[in-house]
Amino acid sequence: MAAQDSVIPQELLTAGAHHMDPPIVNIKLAQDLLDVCRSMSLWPMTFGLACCAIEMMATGMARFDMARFGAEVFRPSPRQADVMIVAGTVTRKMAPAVVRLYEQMPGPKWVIAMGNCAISGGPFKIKDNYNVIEGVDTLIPVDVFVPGCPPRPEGLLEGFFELQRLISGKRWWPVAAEVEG
Amino acid sequence: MLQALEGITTQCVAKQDKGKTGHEWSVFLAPGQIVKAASKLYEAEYSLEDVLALDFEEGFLVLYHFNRWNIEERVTLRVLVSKDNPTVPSIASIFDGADWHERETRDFHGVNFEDHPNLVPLLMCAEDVDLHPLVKTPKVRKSIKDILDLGEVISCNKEMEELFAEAEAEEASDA
Repeated sequence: MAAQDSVIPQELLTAGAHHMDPPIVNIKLAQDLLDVCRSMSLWPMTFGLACCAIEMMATGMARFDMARFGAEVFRPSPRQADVMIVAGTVTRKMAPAVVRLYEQMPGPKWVIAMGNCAISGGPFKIKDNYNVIEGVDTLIPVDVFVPGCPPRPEGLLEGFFELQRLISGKRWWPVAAEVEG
Repeated sequence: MLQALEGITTQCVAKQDKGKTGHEWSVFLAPGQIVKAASKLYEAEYSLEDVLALDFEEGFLVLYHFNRWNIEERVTLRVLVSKDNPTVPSIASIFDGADWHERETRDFHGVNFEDHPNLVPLLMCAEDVDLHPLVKTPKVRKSIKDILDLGEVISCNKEMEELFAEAEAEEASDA
């Protein structure tokens, strides 16, 4: 059973007092089955904040084609999405909107922090930083961190594989062979 | 002489090297004159390009860049205000486009624009109303004369001459 479905009542996830309700009927086999289904039909939200979004688009397009791995339909509305890919720099002014979008997503839901800016502030983590959130995990709970500046599409795909492993407990795809020479 | 600004009390008018500075005229004004000057330029069909501030040892220098579409003549109006009370009258009633530029300048430098219709933070978030990130620390702050070149002076009052005086003296000694 994935962590998102576990029965942890009253755990407030965000400043907006957002929390997940436990499943009403909790049968392990049924949950496991649902988890596999969920992991193979991840609907990410169209949510590009900076240059990482270009790589995210590339991941969705023909060459890398994340539809092959079950994460095809980018949704323009948080109500229809279950993965938020925070692709880019989160500024202080954007922060309330990020939290609101997260809270609008129906559970179970997951967050991928894509790129160094979303992970830690990246190049903006400096002494005189006045407007960049240093790590989106200070706002919303993050499941997978994909480092890079920006990460290659392969990196984001690996992030998705990791997320699928978190959800269903198994890595479904072969590991890429190391290139020699 | 700059025809459009006829009748405005200026502190200093200088013709600038276009290749070096990108504009033709540099005009220093007292804060009280900026609204009048802006409306004169509006009547002469100038458009507002930008409003910004620079942080100098002498105070905040608020710059207004104007341009015309039919004649290549960029004009920069400069208003020097003190650090203690950086207040300039707003020109948003004349040039609508100045509205956001002035809000941005208030965000970054804390220059207060009097009679502005809506002087709330534009780029900074609302909680950071007193945070002005582009205000320099004393260590890196410079004097006007180190940064700006006066150019070919047409008319200039005593105070402005003094602001730029030392630099010219240094240049003379170098020669």
